[in-house]
Amino acid sequence: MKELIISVSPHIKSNINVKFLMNSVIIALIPSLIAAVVIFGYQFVLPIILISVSTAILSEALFQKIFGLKITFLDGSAALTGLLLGLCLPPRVPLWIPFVGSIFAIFSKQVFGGLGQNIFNPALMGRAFLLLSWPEIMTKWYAPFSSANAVSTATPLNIYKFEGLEKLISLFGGNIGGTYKYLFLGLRGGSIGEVFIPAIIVGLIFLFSKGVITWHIPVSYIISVVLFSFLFGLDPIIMILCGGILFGAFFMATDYVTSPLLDSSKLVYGFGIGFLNMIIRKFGGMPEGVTFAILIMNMLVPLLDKQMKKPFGFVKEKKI
Amino acid sequence: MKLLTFKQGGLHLQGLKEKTANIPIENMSDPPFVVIPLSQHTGLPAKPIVKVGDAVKIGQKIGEAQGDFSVPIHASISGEIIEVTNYAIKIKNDYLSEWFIEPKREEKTLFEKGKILKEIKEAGIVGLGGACFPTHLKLNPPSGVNIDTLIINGAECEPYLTCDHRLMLEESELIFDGIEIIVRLLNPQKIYICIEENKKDAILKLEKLVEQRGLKIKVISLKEKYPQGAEKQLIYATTHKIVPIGKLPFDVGVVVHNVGTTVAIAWAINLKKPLIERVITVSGDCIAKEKNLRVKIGTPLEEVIKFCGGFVKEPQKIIFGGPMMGITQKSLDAPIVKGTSGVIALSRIDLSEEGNCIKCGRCVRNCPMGLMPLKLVEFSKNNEFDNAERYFATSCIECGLCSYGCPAKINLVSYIKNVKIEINRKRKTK
Repeated sequence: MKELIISVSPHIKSNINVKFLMNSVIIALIPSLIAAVVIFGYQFVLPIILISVSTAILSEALFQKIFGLKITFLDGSAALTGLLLGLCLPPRVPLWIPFVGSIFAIFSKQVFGGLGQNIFNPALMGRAFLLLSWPEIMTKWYAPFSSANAVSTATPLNIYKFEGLEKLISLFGGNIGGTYKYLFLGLRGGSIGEVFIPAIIVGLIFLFSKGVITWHIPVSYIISVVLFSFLFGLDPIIMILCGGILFGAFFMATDYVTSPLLDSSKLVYGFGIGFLNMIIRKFGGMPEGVTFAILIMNMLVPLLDKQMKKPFGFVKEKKI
Repeated sequence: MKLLTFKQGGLHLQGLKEKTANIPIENMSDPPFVVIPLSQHTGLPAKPIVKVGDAVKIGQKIGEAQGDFSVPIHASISGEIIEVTNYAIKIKNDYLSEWFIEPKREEKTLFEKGKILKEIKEAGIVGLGGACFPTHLKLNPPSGVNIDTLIINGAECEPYLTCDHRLMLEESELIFDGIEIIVRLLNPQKIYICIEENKKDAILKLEKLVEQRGLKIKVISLKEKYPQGAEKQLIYATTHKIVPIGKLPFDVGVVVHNVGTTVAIAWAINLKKPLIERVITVSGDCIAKEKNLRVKIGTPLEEVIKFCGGFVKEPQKIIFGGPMMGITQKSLDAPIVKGTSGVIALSRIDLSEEGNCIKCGRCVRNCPMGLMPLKLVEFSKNNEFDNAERYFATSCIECGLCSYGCPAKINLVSYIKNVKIEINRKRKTK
């Protein structure tokens, strides 16, 4: 008989592993990708995604080799970062954009020590880097189903911010109900993966059903957006349907590594993102703010994680 | 009806009990020799009172308890002592099967409490659920403590194990006898027998018997959720009482005994039979014929395996107890001890390497004690034992759920065990 293995209990393990979790999020993003291919055209969308995903995987392998880390570039986390980055780029960026963005995204993770150590969401780091370095390229939007030589258009958030609600309604559907419908169905300019809301919701339902994420961050994020929309005199439904709030709330803000641990802290975190997001939209120079709202809250996560959970049987010590 | 369960953490595990749940308890033939360890309980080991060459009979005391936190050990077969070491006594079987004192049902006499307690101790009874805490201590609350609730633990929440299930079905009468004795000692107002709902037949049978006999016992169905059988979780599930950190069930007026222990108490008091055998579940994909067996304490693992038809696959791990909290054995020489509830031989073990923690929070969500296991691991790695203590490391019951659910396959329990050892060492030197 071979030697028996001696080890500490438990001796059985669940079949959930990191690869399964990463792949689940990748699967949850596929409906959005398919919608984007239909809306913005496969000839534009697919090359961007291919480059962003493959660059992310390759640079993960490279950085792990250089930094002497454990080689895990096929565990799905790099592919997920690449996919997330690709999906939050404008639909017709030149192909060196996803290339450079993915390299930076992975670098921003590996420089902290790799998966599990990074403070900032890697995909959003990539996007922020691109946005600050090449703002013009990164804000060139195209209307859905437009031809190859179409000119760029403004996003609804742009119109809302700089030209007002009436103008937005007149361009999208003619009445407020029509505008909601247009925006819900993604008939607007925007980032590749963020526009078609039904696909994003399908992805969310999938993640819930697999127990990959909990409700705390998405729900508190959205509640906070609604609340501050009212306070700032903005239409909350347009605020939610436009830009990347739902995409960010479901797929970016819920990233395990860069979000807090406890449910109570998750609520604070989500609420904070919504607050910052609306501050940026209302008072900032840019019409959108998901990226920076999440990145700023990422910085607060180590602080939020100082929160301690009360164990079972905890009794407050009586003061004498 | 809403099933009772505990509030925080916990997980529904795949039971894997169907293979042995319907197999009646079989008496295993006596082995050619037994090895009886001196320490089969928490507290000081027993002190040998026999020497090599002595002839012993079944049930004869061969090791004396050392102090009150210890229990004696007994010969489980008749034969000759062939080895006495600092750890164990080895007896060669003479196959005469002679009893030291033949067990027989005595006329029921109302003992005084002290005498019952002494007899339970002398019978060498410890908690048979696996904790091996001397039972007489759990039946003797400090003065001033009023026990209002007795819980008989038939949850059996560990996967694979069905020995308690079979006991409840086959020795229901003895369980009631045992309860009667415990009641005489503790005089609780409420008595519950708690069983997970996957053992429907046992629930129905005990309910029926309670009704027939007009007993003041309530049989409670619990939700199938691990670790339902852990003392503090079970107390909460049944009574909604919370045992404060660092306190004992005594402090909330509750006593919990495992069904196996209850049966052992009945044997000891009513038949004067010491704890020389127990029921174990032999299961796992490597075992040819999975069984529930009544085995003599000290039976070598090898004999148990042989009796179950040997291995059909090469085992990677052999576990004494359940797969969540059991102890791996390094050879087939290991003897079955009082705390062994099962022998599980597995051929496929998840040997994935430890990855990076991705802070998914599953360990926190699953922890039935409401701890933050990943923080404790961090403190363990950095030798921050004070911090670990501040995060209640010592409350950990080592149920194993944090390691079980970890997607990065980190063995959190082993880190936490380390931290606990360090904290205890420091407390002692203080």
